[in-house]
Amino acid sequence: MNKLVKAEWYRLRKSGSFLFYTVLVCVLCVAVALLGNRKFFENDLSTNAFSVLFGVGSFMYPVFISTMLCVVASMGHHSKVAYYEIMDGNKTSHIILSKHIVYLPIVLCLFLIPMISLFGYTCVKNGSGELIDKPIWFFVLFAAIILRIVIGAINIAMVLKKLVTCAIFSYARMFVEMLAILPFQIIGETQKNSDILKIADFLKDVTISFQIENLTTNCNDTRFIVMVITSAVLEIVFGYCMAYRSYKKKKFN
Amino acid sequence: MDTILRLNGITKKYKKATVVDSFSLTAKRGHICGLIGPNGAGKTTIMKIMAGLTLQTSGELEFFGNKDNLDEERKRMSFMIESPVIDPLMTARENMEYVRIVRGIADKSKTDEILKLVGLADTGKKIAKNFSLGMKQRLGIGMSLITSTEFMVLDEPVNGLDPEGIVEVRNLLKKLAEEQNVTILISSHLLSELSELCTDFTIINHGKLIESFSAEELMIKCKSRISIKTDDINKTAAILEDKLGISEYKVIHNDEIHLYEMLDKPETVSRTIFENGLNITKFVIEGESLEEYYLSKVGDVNE
Repeated sequence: MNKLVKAEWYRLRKSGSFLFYTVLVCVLCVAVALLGNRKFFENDLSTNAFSVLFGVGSFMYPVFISTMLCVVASMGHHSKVAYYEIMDGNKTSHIILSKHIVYLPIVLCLFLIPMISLFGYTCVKNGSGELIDKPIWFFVLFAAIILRIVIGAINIAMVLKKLVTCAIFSYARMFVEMLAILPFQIIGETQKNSDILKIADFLKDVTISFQIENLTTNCNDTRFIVMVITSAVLEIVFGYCMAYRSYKKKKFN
Repeated sequence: MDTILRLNGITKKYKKATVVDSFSLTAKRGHICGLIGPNGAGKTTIMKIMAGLTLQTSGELEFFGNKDNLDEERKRMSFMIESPVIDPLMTARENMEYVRIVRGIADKSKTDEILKLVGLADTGKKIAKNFSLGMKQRLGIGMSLITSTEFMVLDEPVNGLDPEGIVEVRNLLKKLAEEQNVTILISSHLLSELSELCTDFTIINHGKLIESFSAEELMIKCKSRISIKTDDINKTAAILEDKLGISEYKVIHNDEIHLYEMLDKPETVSRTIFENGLNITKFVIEGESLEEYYLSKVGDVNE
Protein backbone atom coordinates (compact mmCIF):
# COMPACT_ATOMS: atom_id res chain seq x y z
CA MET A 1 0.00 0.00 0.00
CA ASN A 2 2.99 2.26 0.59
CA LYS A 3 3.72 2.46 -3.14
CA LEU A 4 0.07 3.31 -3.87
CA VAL A 5 0.15 6.17 -1.36
CA LYS A 6 3.40 7.47 -2.86
CA ALA A 7 2.04 7.18 -6.39
CA GLU A 8 -1.19 9.01 -5.59
CA TRP A 9 0.70 11.78 -3.81
CA TYR A 10 3.10 12.03 -6.76
CA ARG A 11 0.21 12.29 -9.21
CA LEU A 12 -1.46 14.98 -7.11
CA ARG A 13 1.69 17.06 -6.96
CA LYS A 14 2.54 16.79 -10.62
CA SER A 15 -0.89 16.99 -12.15
CA GLY A 16 -1.65 20.70 -12.41
CA SER A 17 -5.31 20.41 -11.51
CA PHE A 18 -4.68 19.84 -7.82
CA LEU A 19 -2.95 23.16 -7.27
CA PHE A 20 -5.70 24.97 -9.15
CA TYR A 21 -8.48 23.40 -7.09
CA THR A 22 -6.62 23.89 -3.81
CA VAL A 23 -6.22 27.61 -4.42
CA LEU A 24 -9.82 27.85 -5.64
CA VAL A 25 -11.19 26.20 -2.52
CA CYS A 26 -9.12 28.35 -0.18
CA VAL A 27 -10.29 31.51 -1.94
CA LEU A 28 -13.91 30.37 -1.86
CA CYS A 29 -13.73 29.44 1.83
CA VAL A 30 -12.33 32.83 2.77
CA ALA A 31 -14.85 34.62 0.53
CA VAL A 32 -17.77 32.78 2.12
CA ALA A 33 -16.49 33.51 5.62
CA LEU A 34 -16.13 37.19 4.79
CA LEU A 35 -19.55 37.44 3.18
CA GLY A 36 -21.44 35.27 5.66
CA ASN A 37 -19.84 36.18 8.95
CA ARG A 38 -19.56 39.93 9.09
CA LYS A 39 -19.78 39.83 12.89
CA PHE A 40 -16.10 38.92 12.78
CA PHE A 41 -15.36 42.43 11.74
CA GLU A 42 -17.67 44.23 14.16
CA ASN A 43 -16.02 45.42 17.30
CA ASP A 44 -18.25 43.39 19.61
CA LEU A 45 -16.46 41.75 22.54
CA SER A 46 -19.44 39.67 23.52
CA THR A 47 -19.31 37.76 20.29
CA ASN A 48 -18.71 34.07 20.71
CA ALA A 49 -16.00 33.67 18.13
CA PHE A 50 -16.37 29.92 17.92
CA SER A 51 -20.10 29.97 17.36
CA VAL A 52 -19.89 32.59 14.69
CA LEU A 53 -17.08 30.75 13.01
CA PHE A 54 -19.20 27.67 12.76
CA GLY A 55 -22.31 29.51 11.75
CA VAL A 56 -24.43 28.90 8.72
CA GLY A 57 -21.79 30.35 6.39
CA SER A 58 -19.36 27.61 7.31
CA PHE A 59 -21.72 25.05 5.79
CA MET A 60 -20.19 26.01 2.47
CA TYR A 61 -16.75 24.81 3.55
CA PRO A 62 -17.67 21.12 3.44
CA VAL A 63 -19.47 21.67 0.13
CA PHE A 64 -16.41 23.19 -1.51
CA ILE A 65 -13.93 20.83 0.10
CA SER A 66 -15.88 17.68 -0.73
CA THR A 67 -16.57 18.81 -4.30
CA MET A 68 -12.93 19.61 -4.84
CA LEU A 69 -11.85 16.29 -3.37
CA CYS A 70 -14.34 14.37 -5.42
CA VAL A 71 -13.20 16.03 -8.62
CA VAL A 72 -9.49 15.59 -7.94
CA ALA A 73 -9.92 11.98 -6.83
CA SER A 74 -12.00 11.16 -9.89
CA MET A 75 -9.41 12.64 -12.24
CA GLY A 76 -7.40 9.48 -11.90
CA HIS A 77 -10.32 7.64 -13.45
CA HIS A 78 -11.00 10.38 -15.97
CA SER A 79 -7.50 10.03 -17.43
CA LYS A 80 -7.60 6.26 -16.68
CA VAL A 81 -4.26 6.51 -14.94
CA ALA A 82 -5.94 4.86 -11.94
CA TYR A 83 -6.11 1.69 -14.03
CA TYR A 84 -2.42 1.04 -13.43
CA GLU A 85 -3.23 0.33 -9.81
CA ILE A 86 -5.73 -2.31 -10.88
CA MET A 87 -3.62 -3.80 -13.67
CA ASP A 88 -0.74 -4.16 -11.22
CA GLY A 89 -2.87 -6.59 -9.23
CA ASN A 90 -3.19 -4.47 -6.09
CA LYS A 91 -5.79 -5.39 -3.53
CA THR A 92 -9.00 -3.38 -3.73
CA SER A 93 -8.82 -2.48 -0.06
CA HIS A 94 -5.30 -1.12 -0.50
CA ILE A 95 -6.32 0.99 -3.49
CA ILE A 96 -9.20 2.58 -1.59
CA LEU A 97 -7.34 3.08 1.68
CA SER A 98 -4.33 4.63 -0.06
CA LYS A 99 -6.58 7.41 -1.36
CA HIS A 100 -7.98 8.04 2.11
CA ILE A 101 -4.50 8.22 3.57
CA VAL A 102 -3.32 10.73 0.96
CA TYR A 103 -6.27 13.09 1.00
CA LEU A 104 -7.10 13.24 4.71
CA PRO A 105 -4.05 15.24 5.89
CA ILE A 106 -4.30 17.52 2.87
CA VAL A 107 -7.90 18.39 3.59
CA LEU A 108 -7.29 18.85 7.29
CA CYS A 109 -4.74 21.52 6.40
CA LEU A 110 -6.99 23.07 3.74
CA PHE A 111 -9.98 23.12 6.06
CA LEU A 112 -8.16 24.31 9.13
CA ILE A 113 -5.87 26.97 7.69
CA PRO A 114 -8.56 29.44 6.54
CA MET A 115 -10.63 28.82 9.63
CA ILE A 116 -7.77 29.14 12.11
CA SER A 117 -6.51 32.22 10.28
CA LEU A 118 -9.87 33.93 10.46
CA PHE A 119 -10.40 32.83 14.01
CA GLY A 120 -6.97 34.12 14.96
CA TYR A 121 -7.68 37.43 13.28
CA THR A 122 -11.00 37.89 15.06
CA CYS A 123 -9.50 36.90 18.42
CA VAL A 124 -6.89 39.57 18.00
CA LYS A 125 -9.47 42.12 16.88
CA ASN A 126 -12.44 41.32 19.08
CA GLY A 127 -11.19 39.00 21.78
CA SER A 128 -11.96 35.29 21.95
CA GLY A 129 -15.47 35.71 23.39
CA GLU A 130 -16.83 32.81 25.42
CA LEU A 131 -14.78 29.70 25.22
CA ILE A 132 -16.52 26.37 25.04
CA ASP A 133 -16.67 24.10 28.09
CA LYS A 134 -14.88 20.79 27.57
CA PRO A 135 -13.24 21.77 24.29
CA ILE A 136 -11.99 18.20 23.82
CA TRP A 137 -15.43 17.02 22.63
CA PHE A 138 -15.61 19.95 20.27
CA PHE A 139 -12.42 18.86 18.55
CA VAL A 140 -13.35 15.15 18.57
CA LEU A 141 -16.67 15.90 16.88
CA PHE A 142 -15.02 18.30 14.48
CA ALA A 143 -12.54 15.57 13.52
CA ALA A 144 -15.38 13.08 13.05
CA ILE A 145 -17.22 15.47 10.73
CA ILE A 146 -14.06 16.17 8.72
CA LEU A 147 -13.36 12.44 8.39
CA ARG A 148 -16.90 11.90 7.22
CA ILE A 149 -16.62 14.64 4.59
CA VAL A 150 -13.21 13.57 3.30
CA ILE A 151 -13.71 9.83 3.20
CA GLY A 152 -17.24 10.27 1.92
CA ALA A 153 -16.03 12.37 -1.00
CA ILE A 154 -13.27 9.89 -1.88
CA ASN A 155 -15.70 6.99 -1.74
CA ILE A 156 -18.15 8.86 -3.97
CA ALA A 157 -15.37 9.47 -6.50
CA MET A 158 -14.45 5.79 -6.50
CA VAL A 159 -18.04 4.69 -7.00
CA LEU A 160 -19.07 7.21 -9.64
CA LYS A 161 -15.66 7.56 -11.37
CA LYS A 162 -16.89 10.19 -13.83
CA LEU A 163 -15.49 13.67 -13.20
CA VAL A 164 -18.61 15.74 -13.98
CA THR A 165 -20.94 13.32 -12.20
CA CYS A 166 -18.74 13.44 -9.12
CA ALA A 167 -18.69 17.23 -9.08
CA ILE A 168 -22.47 17.53 -9.44
CA PHE A 169 -23.24 14.79 -6.93
CA SER A 170 -20.86 16.07 -4.32
CA TYR A 171 -21.98 19.68 -4.66
CA ALA A 172 -25.66 18.87 -4.67
CA ARG A 173 -25.54 16.36 -1.87
CA MET A 174 -25.38 18.86 0.99
CA PHE A 175 -28.26 20.88 -0.44
CA VAL A 176 -30.33 17.77 -1.07
CA GLU A 177 -29.79 16.71 2.54
CA MET A 178 -31.19 20.01 3.74
CA LEU A 179 -34.07 19.87 1.27
CA ALA A 180 -34.94 16.35 2.36
CA ILE A 181 -35.59 17.60 5.86
CA LEU A 182 -37.91 20.41 4.76
CA PRO A 183 -41.03 18.36 3.99
CA PHE A 184 -40.91 16.72 7.41
CA GLN A 185 -40.34 20.07 9.08
CA ILE A 186 -43.16 21.76 7.22
CA ILE A 187 -45.67 18.93 7.61
CA GLY A 188 -44.76 18.45 11.26
CA GLU A 189 -45.22 22.13 12.07
CA THR A 190 -48.38 22.65 10.06
CA GLN A 191 -50.05 19.51 11.31
CA LYS A 192 -48.47 19.82 14.74
CA ASN A 193 -47.40 16.19 14.43
CA SER A 194 -44.69 15.52 16.96
CA ASP A 195 -43.73 12.19 15.41
CA ILE A 196 -42.97 13.81 12.07
CA LEU A 197 -41.10 16.59 13.82
CA LYS A 198 -39.03 13.94 15.59
CA ILE A 199 -38.13 12.51 12.19
CA ALA A 200 -37.11 15.98 11.05
CA ASP A 201 -34.98 16.44 14.18
CA PHE A 202 -33.38 13.04 13.70
CA LEU A 203 -32.52 13.87 10.09
CA LYS A 204 -31.02 17.16 11.22
CA ASP A 205 -28.90 15.34 13.74
CA VAL A 206 -27.37 13.15 11.04
CA THR A 207 -26.79 15.70 8.27
CA ILE A 208 -23.38 17.31 8.04
CA SER A 209 -24.57 20.88 7.57
CA PHE A 210 -26.72 20.90 10.72
CA GLN A 211 -24.07 19.09 12.69
CA ILE A 212 -21.54 21.83 11.85
CA GLU A 213 -24.03 24.57 12.63
CA ASN A 214 -24.85 23.07 16.05
CA LEU A 215 -21.30 22.01 16.87
CA THR A 216 -20.51 24.78 19.32
CA THR A 217 -23.85 24.81 21.13
CA ASN A 218 -24.32 21.04 21.43
CA CYS A 219 -20.80 19.68 21.65
CA ASN A 220 -21.35 18.71 25.31
CA ASP A 221 -24.72 17.07 24.65
CA THR A 222 -24.39 13.28 24.92
CA ARG A 223 -27.07 12.60 22.33
CA PHE A 224 -25.44 14.98 19.87
CA ILE A 225 -22.03 13.38 20.43
CA VAL A 226 -23.45 9.91 19.81
CA MET A 227 -25.29 11.05 16.67
CA VAL A 228 -22.24 12.77 15.15
CA ILE A 229 -19.88 9.88 15.79
CA THR A 230 -22.38 7.19 14.79
CA SER A 231 -23.42 8.94 11.58
CA ALA A 232 -19.76 9.47 10.67
CA VAL A 233 -18.89 5.81 11.29
CA LEU A 234 -21.94 4.55 9.40
CA GLU A 235 -21.35 6.79 6.39
CA ILE A 236 -17.65 5.91 6.25
CA VAL A 237 -18.36 2.18 6.45
CA PHE A 238 -21.23 2.36 3.95
CA GLY A 239 -19.19 4.46 1.52
CA TYR A 240 -16.19 2.14 1.81
CA CYS A 241 -18.39 -0.90 1.12
CA MET A 242 -19.90 0.81 -1.94
CA ALA A 243 -16.44 1.76 -3.26
CA TYR A 244 -15.13 -1.76 -2.58
CA ARG A 245 -18.10 -3.32 -4.33
CA SER A 246 -17.75 -0.95 -7.27
CA TYR A 247 -14.09 -1.85 -7.72
CA LYS A 248 -14.75 -5.56 -7.33
CA LYS A 249 -17.35 -5.47 -10.09
CA LYS A 250 -14.55 -4.26 -12.38
CA LYS A 251 -16.50 -2.07 -14.74
CA PHE A 252 -13.61 0.06 -15.94
CA ASN A 253 -14.14 1.20 -19.51
CA MET B 1 6.67 -23.63 -16.80
CA ASP B 2 5.92 -23.48 -20.49
CA THR B 3 2.34 -22.24 -20.72
CA ILE B 4 2.08 -18.65 -19.52
CA LEU B 5 -1.51 -17.97 -20.46
CA ARG B 6 -4.57 -20.16 -20.68
CA LEU B 7 -8.01 -18.77 -21.47
CA ASN B 8 -10.76 -21.40 -21.32
CA GLY B 9 -14.21 -20.69 -22.68
CA ILE B 10 -14.16 -16.98 -21.88
CA THR B 11 -17.55 -15.37 -22.44
CA LYS B 12 -18.49 -11.76 -21.87
CA LYS B 13 -22.03 -10.49 -22.15
CA TYR B 14 -23.31 -6.93 -21.81
CA LYS B 15 -27.07 -7.12 -21.21
CA LYS B 16 -28.26 -8.77 -24.45
CA ALA B 17 -25.03 -8.51 -26.46
CA THR B 18 -22.45 -11.30 -26.35
CA VAL B 19 -19.14 -9.62 -27.01
CA VAL B 20 -16.91 -12.63 -26.40
CA ASP B 21 -18.28 -16.13 -26.90
CA SER B 22 -16.48 -19.17 -25.47
CA PHE B 23 -13.06 -17.93 -26.47
CA SER B 24 -10.01 -20.03 -25.67
CA LEU B 25 -6.34 -19.25 -26.11
CA THR B 26 -2.99 -20.45 -24.85
CA ALA B 27 0.37 -18.74 -25.01
CA LYS B 28 3.72 -20.33 -24.33
CA ARG B 29 6.74 -18.69 -22.79
CA GLY B 30 8.84 -16.66 -25.20
CA HIS B 31 6.22 -16.72 -27.95
CA ILE B 32 4.74 -13.69 -29.66
CA CYS B 33 1.04 -14.31 -30.21
CA GLY B 34 -0.91 -12.23 -32.68
CA LEU B 35 -4.60 -11.66 -32.02
CA ILE B 36 -6.30 -10.74 -35.29
CA GLY B 37 -9.85 -9.65 -35.88
CA PRO B 38 -11.96 -6.86 -37.34
CA ASN B 39 -13.14 -3.88 -35.30
CA GLY B 40 -15.60 -5.02 -32.65
CA ALA B 41 -14.40 -8.63 -32.76
CA GLY B 42 -13.72 -8.69 -29.03
CA LYS B 43 -9.91 -8.36 -28.94
CA THR B 44 -9.83 -5.39 -26.58
CA THR B 45 -12.49 -6.92 -24.33
CA ILE B 46 -10.41 -10.07 -23.98
CA MET B 47 -7.37 -7.99 -23.10
CA LYS B 48 -9.37 -5.98 -20.55
CA ILE B 49 -10.49 -9.22 -18.94
CA MET B 50 -6.88 -10.31 -18.73
CA ALA B 51 -5.87 -6.96 -17.22
CA GLY B 52 -8.59 -7.18 -14.57
CA LEU B 53 -10.45 -4.13 -15.85
CA THR B 54 -13.58 -6.12 -16.50
CA LEU B 55 -14.88 -9.50 -15.37
CA GLN B 56 -15.77 -12.32 -17.69
CA THR B 57 -19.35 -13.61 -17.58
CA SER B 58 -18.07 -17.18 -17.61
CA GLY B 59 -14.90 -19.09 -18.33
CA GLU B 60 -11.52 -19.41 -16.71
CA LEU B 61 -8.27 -17.53 -16.83
CA GLU B 62 -4.94 -18.97 -15.86
CA PHE B 63 -1.71 -16.99 -15.64
CA PHE B 64 1.57 -18.85 -15.09
CA GLY B 65 -0.39 -21.96 -14.10
CA ASN B 66 -2.32 -20.09 -11.39
CA LYS B 67 -6.11 -19.88 -11.58
CA ASP B 68 -6.80 -18.75 -8.05
CA ASN B 69 -4.74 -15.64 -7.45
CA LEU B 70 -4.73 -13.78 -10.75
CA ASP B 71 -4.02 -10.41 -9.12
CA GLU B 72 -0.75 -11.75 -7.76
CA GLU B 73 0.28 -12.99 -11.21
CA ARG B 74 -0.65 -9.65 -12.81
CA LYS B 75 2.36 -8.18 -11.03
CA ARG B 76 4.45 -10.20 -13.52
CA MET B 77 2.58 -8.78 -16.49
CA SER B 78 2.23 -5.43 -18.18
CA PHE B 79 -0.59 -4.11 -20.28
CA MET B 80 -1.27 -1.49 -22.89
CA ILE B 81 -4.99 -1.67 -23.58
CA GLU B 82 -6.80 0.40 -26.19
CA SER B 83 -5.23 3.85 -26.18
CA PRO B 84 -2.13 4.53 -24.05
CA VAL B 85 -3.11 5.33 -20.47
CA ILE B 86 -1.33 8.58 -19.69
CA ASP B 87 -2.10 11.62 -17.57
CA PRO B 88 -2.45 14.49 -20.03
CA LEU B 89 -1.31 17.08 -17.50
CA MET B 90 2.01 15.38 -16.75
CA THR B 91 5.17 15.26 -18.84
CA ALA B 92 6.57 12.05 -20.33
CA ARG B 93 9.02 11.76 -17.47
CA GLU B 94 6.34 12.32 -14.84
CA ASN B 95 4.04 9.74 -16.40
CA MET B 96 6.86 7.22 -16.52
CA GLU B 97 7.88 8.04 -12.96
CA TYR B 98 4.28 7.59 -11.80
CA VAL B 99 4.14 4.09 -13.26
CA ARG B 100 7.54 3.30 -11.77
CA ILE B 101 6.22 4.22 -8.32
CA VAL B 102 2.91 2.34 -8.78
CA ARG B 103 4.77 -0.79 -9.77
CA GLY B 104 7.14 -0.45 -6.84
CA ILE B 105 10.35 -0.25 -8.89
CA ALA B 106 13.12 1.11 -6.69
CA ASP B 107 15.60 1.86 -9.45
CA LYS B 108 15.03 5.52 -10.43
CA SER B 109 17.37 5.29 -13.42
CA LYS B 110 14.83 3.03 -15.14
CA THR B 111 12.72 6.07 -16.00
CA ASP B 112 15.40 7.75 -18.06
CA GLU B 113 16.51 4.43 -19.53
CA ILE B 114 13.06 3.63 -20.89
CA LEU B 115 12.42 7.19 -22.08
CA LYS B 116 15.63 6.96 -24.10
CA LEU B 117 14.62 3.57 -25.44
CA VAL B 118 11.30 4.86 -26.78
CA GLY B 119 12.77 8.13 -28.05
CA LEU B 120 11.10 10.51 -25.59
CA ALA B 121 14.10 11.58 -23.55
CA ASP B 122 14.08 15.10 -25.06
CA THR B 123 10.44 16.06 -24.51
CA GLY B 124 11.36 18.19 -21.48
CA LYS B 125 8.42 20.02 -19.89
CA LYS B 126 5.97 19.34 -22.69
CA ILE B 127 2.84 17.82 -21.19
CA ALA B 128 1.34 14.69 -22.67
CA LYS B 129 -1.80 16.54 -23.77
CA ASN B 130 0.31 18.20 -26.46
CA PHE B 131 1.94 15.01 -27.72
CA SER B 132 1.29 13.63 -31.18
CA LEU B 133 -0.42 10.25 -31.49
CA GLY B 134 2.92 8.59 -32.18
CA MET B 135 4.52 10.15 -29.11
CA LYS B 136 1.61 9.03 -26.92
CA GLN B 137 1.93 5.55 -28.35
CA ARG B 138 5.66 5.48 -27.59
CA LEU B 139 5.01 6.66 -24.07
CA GLY B 140 2.38 3.96 -23.59
CA ILE B 141 4.79 1.30 -24.81
CA GLY B 142 7.50 2.67 -22.55
CA MET B 143 5.18 2.60 -19.54
CA SER B 144 4.50 -1.07 -20.18
CA LEU B 145 8.23 -1.76 -20.52
CA ILE B 146 9.37 -0.11 -17.32
CA THR B 147 8.91 -3.28 -15.29
CA SER B 148 10.88 -6.43 -15.91
CA THR B 149 7.79 -8.10 -17.14
CA GLU B 150 7.39 -11.74 -18.16
CA PHE B 151 4.23 -11.27 -20.17
CA MET B 152 3.20 -8.20 -22.17
CA VAL B 153 -0.29 -7.61 -23.51
CA LEU B 154 -0.28 -4.92 -26.19
CA ASP B 155 -3.39 -3.67 -27.95
CA GLU B 156 -2.40 -2.14 -31.29
CA PRO B 157 0.95 -0.82 -30.09
CA VAL B 158 2.09 0.45 -33.50
CA ASN B 159 -1.05 2.46 -34.14
CA GLY B 160 -0.04 5.97 -35.19
CA LEU B 161 3.68 5.26 -35.44
CA ASP B 162 5.71 6.26 -38.47
CA PRO B 163 7.44 3.49 -40.48
CA GLU B 164 10.68 3.93 -38.55
CA GLY B 165 8.79 3.69 -35.28
CA ILE B 166 7.02 0.53 -36.40
CA VAL B 167 10.33 -1.12 -37.25
CA GLU B 168 11.81 -0.03 -33.91
CA VAL B 169 8.90 -1.48 -31.95
CA ARG B 170 9.02 -4.68 -33.97
CA ASN B 171 12.74 -5.11 -33.31
CA LEU B 172 12.31 -4.27 -29.65
CA LEU B 173 9.55 -6.83 -29.15
CA LYS B 174 11.51 -9.50 -31.03
CA LYS B 175 14.52 -8.79 -28.86
CA LEU B 176 12.47 -9.07 -25.67
CA ALA B 177 11.04 -12.41 -26.76
CA GLU B 178 14.33 -13.86 -27.97
CA GLU B 179 16.75 -12.55 -25.35
CA GLN B 180 14.59 -12.25 -22.24
CA ASN B 181 12.03 -14.94 -23.03
CA VAL B 182 9.19 -12.43 -22.63
CA THR B 183 5.83 -13.69 -23.86
CA ILE B 184 3.86 -11.14 -25.85
CA LEU B 185 0.21 -11.04 -26.84
CA ILE B 186 -0.30 -8.39 -29.47
CA SER B 187 -3.22 -7.23 -31.53
CA SER B 188 -2.86 -5.13 -34.64
CA HIS B 189 -4.57 -4.29 -37.88
CA LEU B 190 -1.20 -4.24 -39.64
CA LEU B 191 -1.18 -7.90 -40.64
CA SER B 192 2.03 -7.50 -42.60
CA GLU B 193 3.70 -6.45 -39.36
CA LEU B 194 2.21 -9.33 -37.41
CA SER B 195 3.30 -11.83 -40.03
CA GLU B 196 6.90 -10.56 -39.59
CA LEU B 197 6.73 -10.62 -35.82
CA CYS B 198 4.50 -13.36 -34.46
CA THR B 199 5.17 -16.99 -33.77
CA ASP B 200 1.48 -17.79 -33.30
CA PHE B 201 -1.76 -16.37 -34.63
CA THR B 202 -5.34 -16.39 -33.42
CA ILE B 203 -8.21 -15.13 -35.54
CA ILE B 204 -11.30 -13.86 -33.74
CA ASN B 205 -14.57 -12.58 -35.19
CA HIS B 206 -17.86 -11.64 -33.49
CA GLY B 207 -16.30 -12.70 -30.21
CA LYS B 208 -15.66 -16.24 -31.38
CA LEU B 209 -12.44 -18.05 -31.98
CA ILE B 210 -12.13 -18.71 -35.71
CA GLU B 211 -8.76 -20.38 -35.84
CA SER B 212 -5.43 -20.64 -34.01
CA PHE B 213 -2.22 -21.66 -35.75
CA SER B 214 1.51 -21.25 -35.58
CA ALA B 215 3.69 -19.40 -38.09
CA GLU B 216 4.80 -22.76 -39.54
CA GLU B 217 1.22 -23.89 -39.98
CA LEU B 218 0.41 -20.57 -41.63
CA MET B 219 3.05 -21.20 -44.27
CA ILE B 220 1.40 -24.50 -45.09
CA LYS B 221 -2.10 -23.01 -45.03
CA CYS B 222 -1.19 -20.05 -47.25
CA LYS B 223 -0.84 -22.26 -50.22
CA SER B 224 0.73 -21.29 -53.47
CA ARG B 225 -1.34 -20.57 -56.55
CA ILE B 226 -1.08 -19.48 -60.15
CA SER B 227 -2.63 -16.03 -60.67
CA ILE B 228 -3.92 -15.63 -64.24
CA LYS B 229 -5.41 -12.65 -66.06
CA THR B 230 -6.67 -12.86 -69.63
CA ASP B 231 -8.90 -10.83 -71.92
CA ASP B 232 -11.87 -13.12 -71.11
CA ILE B 233 -11.85 -14.60 -67.62
CA ASN B 234 -15.13 -16.50 -67.92
CA LYS B 235 -13.98 -18.23 -71.09
CA THR B 236 -10.65 -18.99 -69.40
CA ALA B 237 -12.44 -20.65 -66.49
CA ALA B 238 -14.54 -22.72 -68.89
CA ILE B 239 -11.43 -23.80 -70.81
CA LEU B 240 -9.60 -24.81 -67.63
CA GLU B 241 -12.54 -26.93 -66.55
CA ASP B 242 -13.25 -28.40 -69.92
CA LYS B 243 -9.76 -29.03 -71.32
CA LEU B 244 -7.73 -29.69 -68.16
CA GLY B 245 -10.43 -30.91 -65.74
CA ILE B 246 -9.46 -28.27 -63.18
CA SER B 247 -11.93 -27.63 -60.36
CA GLU B 248 -9.83 -26.04 -57.63
CA TYR B 249 -9.78 -22.41 -58.60
CA LYS B 250 -11.34 -19.05 -57.65
CA VAL B 251 -12.41 -16.15 -59.81
CA ILE B 252 -11.41 -12.89 -58.10
CA HIS B 253 -13.30 -9.68 -58.85
CA ASN B 254 -14.28 -11.08 -62.24
CA ASP B 255 -10.88 -10.31 -63.73
CA GLU B 256 -8.42 -12.78 -62.24
CA ILE B 257 -8.28 -16.51 -61.66
CA HIS B 258 -6.41 -18.08 -58.72
CA LEU B 259 -5.56 -21.62 -59.67
CA TYR B 260 -4.63 -24.15 -56.97
CA GLU B 261 -4.01 -27.18 -59.17
CA MET B 262 -1.31 -28.10 -61.67
CA LEU B 263 1.19 -25.85 -59.89
CA ASP B 264 3.95 -28.16 -61.13
CA LYS B 265 2.80 -27.80 -64.77
CA PRO B 266 2.34 -24.07 -65.39
CA GLU B 267 3.46 -24.41 -69.02
CA THR B 268 0.55 -26.79 -69.72
CA VAL B 269 -1.92 -24.31 -68.30
CA SER B 270 -0.54 -21.33 -70.22
CA ARG B 271 -0.32 -23.26 -73.49
CA THR B 272 -3.93 -24.48 -73.16
CA ILE B 273 -5.21 -20.95 -72.58
CA PHE B 274 -3.18 -19.53 -75.46
CA GLU B 275 -4.18 -22.30 -77.89
CA ASN B 276 -7.85 -21.48 -77.25
CA GLY B 277 -7.42 -17.97 -78.61
CA LEU B 278 -7.06 -16.03 -75.34
CA ASN B 279 -4.38 -13.45 -74.57
CA ILE B 280 -2.68 -13.86 -71.20
CA THR B 281 -1.97 -10.52 -69.47
CA LYS B 282 -0.78 -11.98 -66.12
CA PHE B 283 0.64 -15.38 -65.24
CA VAL B 284 2.36 -15.54 -61.82
CA ILE B 285 3.06 -18.29 -59.31
CA GLU B 286 2.62 -16.74 -55.78
CA GLY B 287 1.64 -17.58 -52.15
CA GLU B 288 -1.25 -16.27 -50.04
CA SER B 289 -0.39 -13.65 -47.45
CA LEU B 290 -1.61 -13.61 -43.84
CA GLU B 291 -3.91 -10.79 -44.85
CA GLU B 292 -5.49 -12.82 -47.63
CA TYR B 293 -5.78 -15.88 -45.41
CA TYR B 294 -7.37 -13.81 -42.65
CA LEU B 295 -9.82 -12.18 -45.09
CA SER B 296 -10.76 -15.57 -46.49
CA LYS B 297 -11.48 -16.81 -42.97
CA VAL B 298 -13.39 -13.77 -41.79
CA GLY B 299 -15.20 -13.49 -45.09
CA ASP B 300 -16.26 -17.16 -44.91
CA VAL B 301 -17.77 -16.68 -41.48
CA ASN B 302 -19.46 -13.42 -42.44
CA GLU B 303 -21.12 -15.23 -45.34
